[in-house]
Parts: sequence; structure tokens; C-alpha cells
Amino acid sequence: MTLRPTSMDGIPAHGSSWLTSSCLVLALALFSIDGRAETPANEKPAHDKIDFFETRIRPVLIEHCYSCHNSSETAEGGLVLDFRQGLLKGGDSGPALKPGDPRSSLLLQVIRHELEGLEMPSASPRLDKSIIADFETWIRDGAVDPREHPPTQEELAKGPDWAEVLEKRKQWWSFRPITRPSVPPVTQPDWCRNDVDRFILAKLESRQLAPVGDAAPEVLIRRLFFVLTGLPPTLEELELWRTRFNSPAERDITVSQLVDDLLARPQFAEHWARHWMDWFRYADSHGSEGDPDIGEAWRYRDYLIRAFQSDVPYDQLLREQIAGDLLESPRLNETLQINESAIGPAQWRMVFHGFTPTDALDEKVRFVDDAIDVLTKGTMALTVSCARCHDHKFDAISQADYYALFGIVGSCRPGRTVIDLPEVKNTHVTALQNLKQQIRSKVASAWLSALPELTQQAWTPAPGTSITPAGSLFFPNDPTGPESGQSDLSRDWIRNRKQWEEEHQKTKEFLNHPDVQVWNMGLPQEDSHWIPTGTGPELNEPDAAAWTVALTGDQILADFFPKGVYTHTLSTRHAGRISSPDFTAKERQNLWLRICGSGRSVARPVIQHYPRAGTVFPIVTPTEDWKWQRMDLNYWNGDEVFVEISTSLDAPIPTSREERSWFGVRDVVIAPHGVDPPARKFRDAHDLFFDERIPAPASVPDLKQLWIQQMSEAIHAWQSGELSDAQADLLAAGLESRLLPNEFGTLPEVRPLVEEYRRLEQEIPVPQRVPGVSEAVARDQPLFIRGNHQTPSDPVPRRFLEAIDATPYATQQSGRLELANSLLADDNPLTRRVIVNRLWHHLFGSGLVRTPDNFGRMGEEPSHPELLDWLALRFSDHHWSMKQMIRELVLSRTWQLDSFPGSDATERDPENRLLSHASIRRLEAEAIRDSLLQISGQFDSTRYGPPVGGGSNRRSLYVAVRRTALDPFLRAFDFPEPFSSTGRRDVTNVPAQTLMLMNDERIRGLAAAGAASVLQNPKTVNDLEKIEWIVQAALSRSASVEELQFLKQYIDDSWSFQKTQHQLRQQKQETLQQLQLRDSDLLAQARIKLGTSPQKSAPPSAGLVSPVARWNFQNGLQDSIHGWTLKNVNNVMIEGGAARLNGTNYLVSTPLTVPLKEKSMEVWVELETPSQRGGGVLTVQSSSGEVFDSIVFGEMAPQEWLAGSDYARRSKSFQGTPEREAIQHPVHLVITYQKDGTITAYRDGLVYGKPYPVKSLVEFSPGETVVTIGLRHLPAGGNRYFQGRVYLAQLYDRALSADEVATSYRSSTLVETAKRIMSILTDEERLELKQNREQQTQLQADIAALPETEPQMALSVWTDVVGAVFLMKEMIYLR
Amino acid sequence: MFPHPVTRRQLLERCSIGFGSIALAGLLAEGAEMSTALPGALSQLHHAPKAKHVIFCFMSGGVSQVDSFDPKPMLKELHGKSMPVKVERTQFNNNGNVMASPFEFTPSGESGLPVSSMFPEVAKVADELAVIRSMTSPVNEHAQGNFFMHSGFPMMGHPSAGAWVAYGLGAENRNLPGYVVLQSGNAVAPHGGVSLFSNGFLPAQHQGSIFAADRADAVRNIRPLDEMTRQRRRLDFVREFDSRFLTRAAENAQVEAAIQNSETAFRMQSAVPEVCEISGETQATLQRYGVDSGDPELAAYGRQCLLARKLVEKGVRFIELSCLTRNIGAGGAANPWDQHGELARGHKRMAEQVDQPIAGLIQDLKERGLLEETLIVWAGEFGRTPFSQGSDGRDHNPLGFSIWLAGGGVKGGTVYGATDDLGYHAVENPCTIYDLWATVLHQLGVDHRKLTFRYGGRDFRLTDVHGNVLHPILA
Repeated sequence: MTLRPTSMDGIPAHGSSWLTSSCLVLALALFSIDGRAETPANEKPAHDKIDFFETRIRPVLIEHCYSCHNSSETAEGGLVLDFRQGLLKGGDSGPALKPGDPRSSLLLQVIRHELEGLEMPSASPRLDKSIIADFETWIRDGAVDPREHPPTQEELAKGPDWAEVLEKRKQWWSFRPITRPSVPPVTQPDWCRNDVDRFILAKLESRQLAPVGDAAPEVLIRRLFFVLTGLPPTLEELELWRTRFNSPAERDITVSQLVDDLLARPQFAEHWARHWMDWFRYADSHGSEGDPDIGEAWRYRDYLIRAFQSDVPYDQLLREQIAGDLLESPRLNETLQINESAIGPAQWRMVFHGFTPTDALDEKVRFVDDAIDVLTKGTMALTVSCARCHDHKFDAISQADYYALFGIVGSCRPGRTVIDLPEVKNTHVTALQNLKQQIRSKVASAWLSALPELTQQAWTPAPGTSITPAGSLFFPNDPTGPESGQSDLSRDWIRNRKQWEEEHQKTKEFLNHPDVQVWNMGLPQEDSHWIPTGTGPELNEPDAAAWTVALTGDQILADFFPKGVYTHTLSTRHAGRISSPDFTAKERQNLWLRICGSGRSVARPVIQHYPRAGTVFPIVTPTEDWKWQRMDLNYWNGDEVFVEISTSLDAPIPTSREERSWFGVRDVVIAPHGVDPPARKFRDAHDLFFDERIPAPASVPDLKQLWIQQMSEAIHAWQSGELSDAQADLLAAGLESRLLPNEFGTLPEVRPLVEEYRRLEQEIPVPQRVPGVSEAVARDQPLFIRGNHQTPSDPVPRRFLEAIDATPYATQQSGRLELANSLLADDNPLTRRVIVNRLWHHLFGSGLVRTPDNFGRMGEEPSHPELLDWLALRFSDHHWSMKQMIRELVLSRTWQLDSFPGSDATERDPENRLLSHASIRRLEAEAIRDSLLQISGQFDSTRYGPPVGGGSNRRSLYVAVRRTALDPFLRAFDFPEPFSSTGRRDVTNVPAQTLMLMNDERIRGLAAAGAASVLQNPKTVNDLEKIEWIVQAALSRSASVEELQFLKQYIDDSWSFQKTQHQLRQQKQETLQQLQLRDSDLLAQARIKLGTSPQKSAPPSAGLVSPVARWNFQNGLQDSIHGWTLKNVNNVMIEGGAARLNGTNYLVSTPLTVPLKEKSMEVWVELETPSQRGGGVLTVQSSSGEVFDSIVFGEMAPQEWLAGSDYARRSKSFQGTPEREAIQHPVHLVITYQKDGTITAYRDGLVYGKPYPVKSLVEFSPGETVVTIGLRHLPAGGNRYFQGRVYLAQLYDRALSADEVATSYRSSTLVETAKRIMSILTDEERLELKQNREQQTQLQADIAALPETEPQMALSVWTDVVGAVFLMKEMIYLR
Repeated sequence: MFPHPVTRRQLLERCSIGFGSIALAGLLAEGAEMSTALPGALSQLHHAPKAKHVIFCFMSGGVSQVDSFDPKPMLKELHGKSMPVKVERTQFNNNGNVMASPFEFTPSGESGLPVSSMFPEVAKVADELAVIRSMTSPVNEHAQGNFFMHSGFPMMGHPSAGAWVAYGLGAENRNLPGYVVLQSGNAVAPHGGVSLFSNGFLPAQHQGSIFAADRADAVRNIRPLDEMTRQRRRLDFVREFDSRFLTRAAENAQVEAAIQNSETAFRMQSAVPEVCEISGETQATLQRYGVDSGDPELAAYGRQCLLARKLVEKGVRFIELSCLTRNIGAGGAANPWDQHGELARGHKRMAEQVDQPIAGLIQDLKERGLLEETLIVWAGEFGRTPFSQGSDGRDHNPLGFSIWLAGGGVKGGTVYGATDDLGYHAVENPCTIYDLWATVLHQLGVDHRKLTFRYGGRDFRLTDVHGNVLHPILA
């Protein structure tokens, strides 16, 4: 009975090989033939069998079967497995088992996956072999089953015992400790270059497979370039390295030199940074409606590039991803003056965000899940996210684990991190503080000495203001102030004091209301528990009144502020954000903020950490005046909220780009509806006057005296740094009313100090911000029962996965630092295995574990487990250096093998898991795009910086990853949607790829550019050299003789095609000329019939204004006013009273002899084709064309008229209706430039779209200004040419009014003529003319695309060749 | 230890290859089209199918149920009064009073199915419709709502229903994609962008291909830059190199598939314009669909409907139609039905756009005997509130709204489920979007629980872990 491994001593068949089980099946078959299957030789005692069931069978049934096959809820297929009778009775497919007869037991067949469509457990991997063997044993032994009754619902709900399940699941290979395997012996040690090879070879030898030979030098060079840098070698590089492969002896040295060269290149860092970006689903925007930027996400990308460049150890880099902002000794970049480590946590913010969700907690659960998913997959290849609703179905991950991590991630607030080094953040801070003191000292003493004089002045409003100290301080809204003498001062005083008391009382009631929560921001921060970040709030001492220096203008001081938090006490460039402790919004509550600010700073209640604003997520933008701002929280009743106030660029999702932005805040209050702060009539300064100890002044001089006294005390208090809120406000009032001298003119001695202050302040750099998270008071997350966020259960302590270490983190913070430590702990078996496997994957085309993002039960097992462990330890032993690991792997003989499999391998290892040869793989999307750019000579190697569009020639990793608009080219080649961790990209094969390479205009353009560079290259004179060049550039190898023949044939073929094309062009041109003649004929005949010419001088009409220039193309090209003459460039046809522009020619005038600033340009114009983009009809410009104003068609938007200008400085879409008529008859266009900068367009006498203002108009000087017709501006070229007819062009030296334009339009005979000409034609003629013109348009387009000259033909031929090479599969595959 | 044999799914997962790649041999035969259907991931259907195609008329922005298919007389009674029940959170929180429908409902067809005056033409085919009045969605905003409606998950990354169908059933036509999204005029992808039509983690050939129904180059890069003969020559030349490379690559299956794929692309260049060409249609047909209408949006939508029929004839599995904006009351290009204001005018104009074309489509399909095998799904991502937003709009309401199905084995003239008296919450037989897709898959012969794809450690489904087939609406 040796064939029964489980029988003799009860030791289960754990670890028994597949081979053994197969034999067992065979053996059983024999048994049954013998008819002895049901009478095993050695019967086990009954209690053993029960024991066997209890330990081996029942737990498996509970864990894998009960949920779908139970007596109380679900019995799929009619089958229940939760008690004996159910098994015996079976389901729709008959009894589940036949005791004693495993072979005829359905249960065994389905768990063995022998029945298609009935593989059980469903949606799971096959059960472990040992478990299947247990079932077999159990059935054979009679299927003893003590379960008389089905479990109760409670028993069922309890499920399997998690502790037991966990223990069992921890036996899965990836959870077991990393072993330290020894390097295995091999029979051919000489074959091996390093230990990696020994592992590989040992396995190959044990399978009697032989590795193939080494890859050819060309193949190896190409492979190294692409795998290490993502780019092909240039021709020079290919040549250089190829020559070094002369002898086998040199090979190793050459390869290692090349590897070192490539590893040191920035392109290596770019390429591998992109891999990392896949692991952390990098994106530049958050997705959904509005798709807002993840502002400065690109700094994270650049950080990764720098990290790969300088080979930052993996453990360091990983630590930074999790908690780089919290590290005690962060990695500082002295060159860039930034804290590199602080950039890492930007990955937390790469989450998808919905748009204004009404269930904000649901949204939080979703985006925290996103973060947990990416983190755990990316670093440990575990699908922790699968345990959100229940314990993991297959892996050693509990639901509690998920919520332990949720507590960590969910405790961090979305934010922005300033990454400047402290010395940069603190640029000039001390100097500015010192200067401020000096300014204070000078200003204060000047004020004190000026005070007595102030009583002499009449307290009338200061020039330019309506504020008097009286008006602003004492009797607001009282036009009969004390100075007027019309009121009884003491009566008014008493009345006001009473009102002031009432107001005070109301404020007090508001702030002391029992249901009101107040944060007094004028207290020290540690008292308020608010969290300040940035630089501004850190500099500001909230418990002291503040004041600011004016940063521009003639004023010295800008303002005084009461105690509170400010970001701008030194500079409005300083960054700032403060956020409150968490609270739960209740029904009918308002959030009140007493704030001020400028530069689009924002304040908002942050609901469930949702960072976007919109509809039910309110924000307020503070104004420069103190205001109580209210936001209703009623909607968010029950949700968790904190308050956040930030400068423009420090909001988690900035809504504006203001570099100078600031805010100040005094009070933050949560109050029930109806409990509101009083409307304010009095200001803080009044407190100094209405104090009951101060008698009411009897007269104006008394009042002035009182004022002087308070002011004097305030100035003294300011000097000594003990300014009260009321005193600060009094000084502010003094500034507002301009009663206190505050100008360079009156305080000249302060001027140098202020100027120095401003100079230094200007030098403060704009802080560099990155997306980040910030710490708050952390909280454990309650577990959500069945993942439902509306059914929270007990909080789970913040900790790591219990399968590794379940000790709760001892920290008040989120626990990110601890999480980083757990990931990198020596006893965490996953992190190191996962990263070396990822590196292996990118080097070899697939990992030792082929599911790099899943090391769990649903993933695959490693092909070489010992090697994986050996590498994992070697990696951490060698300082976690990714470059070193990559170097070691590519220097292995295994990596450098040829890709052509040996015949044994094809048969016995078709998937090449044993690596007897290299695997063929397709290039990634970026490498394909980058190759096309490099081959075509268009590659722009600029590094770093904000993302670019796909049309750019920069490397693909710089192309913006906008979630709602991913680049179509990259997407077609499987660029991943930024949605989850992607360790292994799909490699698909869709027609869109070929269509893109075959028909995309841009790709064709690249082919043409490649062709042009071959044609211009002095090294490639004859066809053969050109061919060689192209083949080598694209395929990194020489063409074979046979291939050369094919190419030659193809080129000949292409040439003959081009020649026919050339002939076709000539034919078409002839046809076109005939059509044009016929066109003119038709019009001429019509005009003769009409007895009119289109430009017969118009009858004088009232209201018609004289132009300064007028070209009507009746009598040559001279302007009929000043005689400015047009030069005809490239043969503009002047026919039928129009200048006929064909898209390659134009007219340019002699210099104008009058100046032009305010002006109008007027034309009658007809379009040849509505599809043209950017042609200029009439342009006034400097002689060089550097500065110009032009009537342009279709430039910014298709078919729209535009006031074109140099670099669009004075251009903006009028948003006019797209032009549809000017193709059939001329239309009248006028653009006027008004003195105040308003630019208005008119079409056929009516305003076209919307006028818009510009800052200033250009002055065109006489002698240096010319006019062009048919060209947007000089120099001629590109899309500046116009196609169509211009019948009249006039210029005015002033802006015509709407009436004048209308008059000019109406009085022109042209409009009439155009209609009449059309009307005089017969229907046939009209149709002919229409068709004629359509044909002309088509022909012109055709002709433009056909080759005219020999060089053009050559370009087409070689474009054809390069285009063909782009389609070759060899170009996008790596051997 | 030796690797398991590669399953069909693993093959798809690992080197998912384009339509054309599985049946390599078949591909080599030129000209064959319908005859060489490509099998999907399901080796056989789970049960006999009732439908072979789906046309998804997606009403982006959200149609109001109480103005379309769910008459609520009580709204008239309470018009202008405050809501008698608790008002749930709305996206704009600008909730007004109960607002009666500005439209009248008429019992239509033999079944007497009530259809509002918004849809006079659809009312004529009322006996074909199975209206579900108790649809619900967990999402109250467009982008996530759209993702949910399309994929069963509220964010990007998951396969769209069309992709699932194409993946499961395979293609009937190897020259056209299995999942086509039609656009015309000013139509754009709804909020969420083209990821709504994504294959997600399914092989890429199942992603929705956008056809611009009214443009010469209906598909991106479909218009050859060269004359076809010239292009053919180029491909033949490239093929010489490719076949040599294939030899050097030891007949690598992926390389081979890529080579074949070029041929598919080549053929698509004529197949796509051919199917988009409508000049062969009779005047009566054009009129029926409204293609000749003077209303440009109606004409454009009509063209989509007509093209949908043609695509069905060509064997395309799943066709999604896109509404065009009328720019009324917040209804922009991405969300044309989104009348937060001016509901009466906006809904009327939007309905005018789709009413005749959809009714025409149903009639045309029926006359051609195609309605039996074509399941039409008409739905927005949510409904609208029975109370007003501001004075004359309605906010989003995912708590209970109406959608309908027609053809493809659906029991016409049926009403299923109900909302409360205000048309606010689904109260009778509440349905989920999972139920909808479970039902659609069921009609296609697929058990929604068995159409799965392993990704990220889980076997994912279109219906996640939910969904019940709505048998009462099935014939």
C-alpha cells in the first residue's frame, strides 16, 4: 500500500508532488477494477476518521463551500454541503459523493477542475493539492461525516475561525520568511557569468534543457539600449559599440562598459522612473467632471527621475513615498535647494476624485481605498483592497487589516507641501524683520512728533478718500459729524456709546452662546489645536497684533491687524494653510469665519477630506476688509468636517495660480442657524473711546484731544510691541484716513528702509509646492460591516497586516512613519521579493513571479523561488541599490542569451519559464513613440518640467497624463489608465495601432522629417547609403542582401509612382486654369450684362468717412488716397476687380507716410476655401512684421474672423458665428481699434461676436509701417497666406462707429453687385459657378499634395520608405 | 512544478490580441466577413440567447422620470407646495417646491402604457417597451454616475458593459469592432470622458470604438493618407520584412498576430466608411429616422440611429448612441439632458431630438425582423427630482427613475416596479444597475455571474457581486 501516502501513519500528503497524486489516481482506478475500492485493506478506527473530518475536511467546507451551498440562504445548483444528508443527496447534477468511491464522486471531480464549467470553488484558484488528496482519502475511507444537522444561521454567519484560516494562509509561499538559499552547483560552471546564472542553469540542467547561445552583438546592443533607456541606439552609438565586439574575449568587458555607460545616462533614469510611475498610477489630473489638475504632480515625476539618476536606495525611496514629509533627516538637494524626501508623499494624492458627490463619506471610502490598493499592490503585491467588505477570500488578509490601514491613510489630510529648504523658505526673513523694526521705530517717532499738529488740521476727508477720522471712528453713517457743528456732540456720543454697548453685548452673546464652538485664532496655536503649514503662519505670532509694510506705491505701511493668524506679515509670497481639528457637522449649523485676505486665498469647510470645491462644497474667497463670512453646514449634517484656510497655491486643489496671496483670520465659529454675529457698525478702535471710564467729550477740541491721547498711547504700544487689537485698529484707521503721515513725501527718512525692504521682499522666491498630505490628530477607523460605510463597527487600531505584525502603532500621528518601517522590516517577506521581481520583470519581459502585482493565492508562484529569495536578500544586503541589481541581472549570461529557442524548449518549456533563451517582447508605448521621434530626427531631449501635449517632441514620459484625455497614441499601445498599480502592462494588438502608424498625420510628418534628414545628410549620398541609414536607425542592424533588394525595388516602385503623381499634378493644374478662366468669364459676362463694374465709385453718401488708404483693384495697385503702392509678390492675379490670392502669394505696400494708432481696417472679401487656417486678409505691420494687426481668418478657431496680432497680444476670439457665406459671395468686414483699447469687429455692417478690451494699442510709425494684403504678417510663409478674393481694402486713422460701419457697408455697391451678379446669372450658370468653385477648391487641395519638383518627389519617395519602416513589426519588438 | 497549460483566458490576458488574432487561419482568407465570426471568451453560451445585439440609447445628463414614463398625478395636486417628505441631499442643494410635470401622459398602444407628450413617436411603439420605473443608482453626480451606469463601478478603470459583451460573445464581423460608440454633430463623450467606453482590464480590442457617424473619417485615422493601391504595396513590402522577422522570432505568436492585425486594419479602412455610408438608403428610410430633418440635432441623432441599424446588420454586438446638446439649462455637450433650469423647454427639445429617430429605429428593426434579436436599452445615469431646483429646473435624483428596454425578447407594453406617489423613491421592486446588466446579459445567453475576468486578485464581473435577472419584464 505504498501508493497511499496518507494512510500509514495519518500524515497528510502535504507537499506530495503532482506526480504522486497522478499515480494515486491511477492506483485508484486499479482498485476499482479489482472491485476492492470499498474495502480498503487497513480500516481506520472510527474516531480517527471523525478526527480526520474535523481537522481536514470540515474547515475546508466551511471556508470554501458553505457560502454558496448552505441550507439556510443559498443552495446554488440545488446543492447544500453544510450537513451530511445534503452531500449524499446532492444537487441538480446528482449526489455529490459516493462514500468509498472517490472516482465516481462528483465532488472530487469538480474540485479537481475536471468538469468544464463546474470548476469549484467558483471564481477561485484550484484548492491546494494536499487538500484535494485529503478529500480523496476521506471519501475512500467512507466519507465519515458527523454533521447530522445543518448549522444554525448564527453558526453559518460566524464562518470559519479566522485565526485558523490565517495560520493556514500564512503558509502560502509569499508569506513565508525569505530563505537564504545557497547557490546551487551546476555541471557547467564555465557557462555561468554570475550566481544568477547558476540558479538558472541548475534548473535547466535538472530539466535536461540546454540554454541557447549568446545574442548577436547588434541584438544585444539594441536590447540593452531599450531595456535600460527606452530608446534605440543612435547610428553613431551602434557603430561605436559594434566595433568593440570584435572578439569573444572583449565581449564581457564591452558589455559591462556599455551597461555602465547606459546606467549613468539620464535617459536610464527617465525610463525607469516611468516604470515606477506605473506602480503608483501616476496622473496629472484627478479625473471625472472638470478633471482638475493634481497641481505640480510633475515635480513628483522629476523627483523620481533624479532618484533613479542618483540611485537612491529603494528602502529610502519607499520610505519617502509613505512618509517623506515626516523624516527626521530628509534627503536634501543642495543644488535645487529642496527637500527631496518631502516630494514622495505626492503619490498619496494621485487618486481619482469624483465631482461634488452628495455622499462625501462614500467618496472618502473610495479614494482611501484607491490609495490602499495602490500602496499594497505596489509595494507588496497584495490585494488588501479585496478585504474591504470581508476577510480576504484567498489571502492572509483580514477585514480588520484593511481598516487598520484605512485609519492610517484616512487620518492624513489632502494638502500641499512646500519643499524649499529652510534657508530658502527663510530667505531674508531675519533681515526683513530687522528692517521692520527700524521702520517701526522711525515711523513711530515721526508720528509721535506729528501728533500735536494733527489737532490743528481740519478733519476733512483726505484727498482721494471719503474717510475722516470722525467718519470712520465715531459717527459712521452720520453726515452731520462733529466737525460740521450741526450736531450735539455729547448727545451723539452717548447714543453711539449705547449702540456700541449693544453691539458688544450681541457679539459676546454670539461667542458665548452655549451651542457655539469658537476658535479664537488670536490665541497661541497650541491652544487652538489648529494645524499650520507653509511659511506664513509659522512666522506669525498669533497672540500679537500685526502690521505690514506696503510692497508697492508711495505708502510706507500697508495695514495694522488685530491678533490672529496671518500669512503675510513679511511677504505676500509666503505660503500658508491652517486647518482646524475635526468635528461632526450637526443639523442647522453655520460656519462663521472672521477673515480677510487677497490674491484668491480660500476658506472652506472640508467635508470628509474631499478636496474639490463646487455646488454643495462651498468655499469663500476672503476680501481685504474684515468680514464675517458664513457657510451653511446643514447639508453636511452628520459628516466629519474640518475648516481649512489657505493661500491660493496651498489649497489641496488650487483654484487659481496667484503667486501673491494672503489671508488673516481672527475667529472661526460653528453656530446654530439663527445664532449670528451682529451686523457691525463699530470697529475695534471704538473700544478705546467708549470705555465707560472715559467721559464723553463735550466739544470737538475735546474729541480731538481724546483722539490724540489714544493715538499716542497706541503708537507707544506699537513701539513696545504690546499693541492691543483696538489700538491696532486705531492705527489702521489713522492710515485709512491718511491722517497719520504714511508717504515717502512726508517721511523721506523712512524711504531707504522701505525700498530696501521691498528689494529683499522681491527676492523671496515663490515657494515650490507639491501635492502632499498633512498630519492631524489621527483616529482609528471603525470597521465597516460588509464594507457598508453606513454601518460602522468597532474601531481597528492603526497597525500593519496581522499576518506580519499585528502590534498597534504607538503614535498620535497617522502612523505613516511606522507603516514605512513595517514595509521595510526584516521580517516582512514581501517588500523585497516584490521589488526584485518588478526589476526582473522589466529586464526579462516577465517576472520570476509572472503576476508582479499579485503575490497572493490568485497570483502565480515563482518559477525560481530560491533565486527570488537569493536576489531579495542580496538586494537589501547591497543597500537596496536598484542600479546595482539591474546591472547584475543584465550582466548575467542568462539575460544576454539569444531569443531563438532551442527545439527542446519549444516543446517542453513553451512559455520559457526556465529561461533557456531570451523572450521576445513588444516595446512599451513610450519607447515606440520616442523611437519614432528619434529616428525622424525630431527628438527633443529637454528634461524635467511641467507636462506637455502629445504633439510635442519631448519624451513620452513628459506627456500629460490627464485622466479624461489620455494621449491617443500612447493609449493605442497600452499605456495604462492611471487607476491601479500596474506592474505588468497589457500587450495588445489592435487595428488602431496600425491605423495610427499608417494614417496619422503626425506620424506621416515624422516620416517626412526622417526622410528630409536622410536626404540632407552628407553621409548618405546614394540610395544604398540612405537605405542603410534608415534600416540601422530603425532596426539597429544592417539590412541583408535580400532585404536591400526588396528595398531597392520598393524605392523604384515609389519613384515611378511619384512620376505619375507629378504628371497628374500637371493635368490637374491645367484643369484648374480652365476652371478659373471659365469662372472669370461667367462673372465678366454678368458684369457686362449689368453694365457695371464692382467698384464703380459709390455715390457720395451722408456719414461716409474718408479712409487714409483705399485699394479697389480697379486701377492697378495704387492706393487712391496717398498713392501707397502695393508690390505684387508671387503673381497675385488681379481680375474682375479683385485681388485673387492663392495661398502662396500676397501684396505688400510701400511704407505708410502717416502714423496709425487708433484705426479701422475694412475689406470686402471672399473665401476660396472655408477650411483655411490663419491667413491674413489685410494687415498693418512694422516693416519686419514683428508687430502687426490683421484681419485673419480661422486662426484660433476654424472659420472665425479674428483680430490677429503679434503673439496674439491683442487677439481674442470674438466668439463670432463661423463664416459660412463668404465662400459664395463677398462679405464686408471691419475691425476697429478704439482709443480705450476696445477692439470691435463688424461683419456685413453688424457687430461680429463680442468686442473685447486690450491694455493698449500699438503705435505704427510713419516710414516704418507697411500694409499687406493676403498675408497675416511678414516674413511670408506657413499658414500666413490667404486664399480668396479681396475686392476692396481700406484703412482709417480712427475707429469707425457702428453707424459709420453700417453706412459704409450699405453704401458699397459691392454688396449690391454681388447679389446682382448672382441674380443675373441663369440657374445653370449659377450651378456651374458653384460647382466650378467647388472643383477649384478640391483641385487646389489635390495639387498642393502632389509633387511639383524633383526634390519634392524625392522627399515623397523617402517619406514613403520611412513610413513603411515605421510599420515594420521588428521596429516595435525586441529580440 | 511544470506550468499549467495556457488556458484561453490566460492567453487573452497575457497577450490579448486583436480581433483577428484568435482565428489566425481564418484571417488569411480574404473577403470573408460574416462567415468568420470570432469566438468570445465564453466557449459556449450559458443558455439559449434571445438577443444578439444591444443598442444602448444613453440619455446623458439624466431624464426626468416624472416627465417621461412615470406619471404622478399627485405632483399636480401638490404643485408649488413644499415636499411632504424628507428631501435627501441634492447636488445643488437649491431645492424648491413640488413641481408638476409640464407634460401630459397618454395611455399608448394596445397595452395602454402611459407615455408623456414628450415622446409622441415613441408612444406609437409603446407596445414594444418594457418600462422599469424603479431603477436606482448609488451615485448622484454625472461622471461617477456615468461610470456606474456603464461599468457597475463609480470610477474609471473598469470595463464598460459594451466591452464585457464584446469580450464574452466575440465578434460576428472581424472587420468591425464589437463595441461601437456613435457620435454625430456636437455630441461628445459624457462626463468621465472616453474611459466610459473603456475595456478596463479586458483585452484592448473590446474597448468602445468611437464612430463619428456624420464624418468622412468616422474613426480616428481610418482615412488612408495614400491611395489604397499605394498603401497595399507598402503593406506588401512591409510584409516581406515582417515575415522574415517572424522567422527570426521563431514564429512568435504575438508577432504573428501583430502582422495579421495590419491586414485587419487595412480592411477596416474600407469596411468602416462602407458601413457609415447611407446613400443607399431610401428616402422613406431617411425620413423615418429624421435624417433629412431641418432640425440639425434631430437629423444628427437620426443618423446615429440609422447607423445603429446598419451596424446591427453587420454583426456589431453593442452600439451606444450619444445625445447632442441643445444648450438648455446646464445641459452642455457632455450632459445634454441636465436641465437644472428650464426643464420644460430643455426636456421638450431634447425629446424632440431623440423621439422620432428612436421610434423610427424600433419600427425599422421590426420590419426587418431584427428587433427580435436586438435589445434596445434606453436610460440616463439617473432621474430628476420631483421638486424643482430653483424655479423651473430639476436636480439629479438617483433614488428612483425610469428606463426602458425594447426588443430582444423583452415583454413589450410592460411596466415594472414603481416609485412612491411623488415619483421620488423606488418603492416597489427597486432595481439596480446590476439588475439591468444582469438582464441584458441574460438575454444574450449569458449568466452574468459566470462572465468573469481575473484581475488584481479577483474575478471581476460586470455586475460586481450583485445583480438579479428581471424576469418579469421578459417575454
